[in-house]
Amino acid sequence: MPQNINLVPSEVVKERALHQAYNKFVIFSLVILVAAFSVLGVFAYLVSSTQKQISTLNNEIAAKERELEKLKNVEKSGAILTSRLEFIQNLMNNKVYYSKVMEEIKSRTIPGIVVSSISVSDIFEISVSGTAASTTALQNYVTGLVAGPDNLFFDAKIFEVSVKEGGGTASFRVTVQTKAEEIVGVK
Amino acid sequence: METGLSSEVKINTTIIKSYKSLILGLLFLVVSSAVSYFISYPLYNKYLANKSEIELKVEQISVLDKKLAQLEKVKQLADTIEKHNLLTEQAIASKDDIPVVMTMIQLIAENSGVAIESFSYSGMSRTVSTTKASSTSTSAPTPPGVGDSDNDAFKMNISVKGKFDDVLKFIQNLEDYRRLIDVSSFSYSAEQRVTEDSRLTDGISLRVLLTSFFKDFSTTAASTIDIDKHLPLIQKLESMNYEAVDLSDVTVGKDNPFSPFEDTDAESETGVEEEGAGAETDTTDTGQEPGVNTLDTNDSSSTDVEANPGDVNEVLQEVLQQEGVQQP
Repeated sequence: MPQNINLVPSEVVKERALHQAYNKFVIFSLVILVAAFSVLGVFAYLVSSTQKQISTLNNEIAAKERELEKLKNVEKSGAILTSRLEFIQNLMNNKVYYSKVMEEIKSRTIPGIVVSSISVSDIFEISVSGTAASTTALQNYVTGLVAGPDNLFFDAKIFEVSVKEGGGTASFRVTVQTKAEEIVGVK
Repeated sequence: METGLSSEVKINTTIIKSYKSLILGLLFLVVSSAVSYFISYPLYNKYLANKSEIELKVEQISVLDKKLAQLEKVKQLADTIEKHNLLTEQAIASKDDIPVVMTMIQLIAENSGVAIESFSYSGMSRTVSTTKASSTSTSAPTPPGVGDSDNDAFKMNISVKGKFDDVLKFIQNLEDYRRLIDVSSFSYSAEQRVTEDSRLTDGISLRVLLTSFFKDFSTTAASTIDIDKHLPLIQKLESMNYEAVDLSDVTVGKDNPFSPFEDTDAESETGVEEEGAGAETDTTDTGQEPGVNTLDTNDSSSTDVEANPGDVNEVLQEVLQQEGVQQP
């Protein structure tokens, strides 16, 4: 039976084994190095990619903020408009239309009356002065001022009457109240 | 000796050769570690930070999208809001544009066929009182209910002369004018009481206290926009008369400010000379000397600014000076 005889010196064998181990270590290190650079590459790619994504998002945010700012200005204008409309509505609701008073006085003045002045004594109290052809005419005028259901006036009072000597004409001053709901905020 | 030395060197070379692979491997490991620690790790951290930042930004975009969606309705109304804002600005100014209002009144008077005898600026009033005015005919009753808000107003006493129907038309035109000018009080009187044949003369004189409001809305806080609710008001405002007044082209500059009036074209520039032709000698009933034009912003007292018909430019300039408004 043939026997294997190892003629290589044991030191050489040892050295060879050591070399092989070193080589394996080198290969292992090389793999580690490659892996390290691969990871580096992956991270570099990810960072670059996320940076691009952030940049895109920043642009998107800036565009949306610009649009929002624009809309906020519109919103502010809308708020101003709403406030202004409410304010105007309030003013209109409380506006006193004295032209209606004048029209009413015009329509209710009878031929025997000559009006010399009309003035506002209070917001709803109108003072009418003038000359009446007779006291009867004055009486008719005062009665006519408040007559009828759709009348603008009520509570007419004769304040002053001065009959001229010899009868005939009489100067007068009459006050009359106006219905607020007819002249305020309604036209 | 020589043989011994060469053998030592040989041994050292062999040692170096034998450790070459080991050194190379170690070098690779060191480089790998350095790359990982000094480059890859910071990159990893940077990646994580970017990832969080992206999440935040996506969230931010989501919030912005929600806000934009909420304001989408406003976006659709943008044109309408702008248009109506212009309309309401004509109805209520943001500042005390007294000269503009005076010019508007002058135009209304012209269109109504009455002649303005006097303008009397009666001062400013902050926060109009809601209480009823006193019961004297010369007092200024204020429209009830408008004083709750912090609004400003200025008042003017104006005397006009004309036929009854024209004076009535003047009042109606003031009431129907888009720029809100309230008639706070009025007093009519016949120019001549009764003629010999007991007939009322055609001409009457009207003295009227006007209140014009203004309010600055620029500090208005955001609120719900509800234009539909006010559509009837908007339609009413649109139907009201309005004539834009532009005082920007008024001729300014005079060599001698104390020199008397010249026959300039100033009257024709504002187009008010025609109405005044028939009442060129009219003066106010205050008994004040013409030309004594002092203005008092105290609400309780007023000083008339004399204004012959057609002299509106002079009156305006004086009011501008008194109000400290710079002319363009």
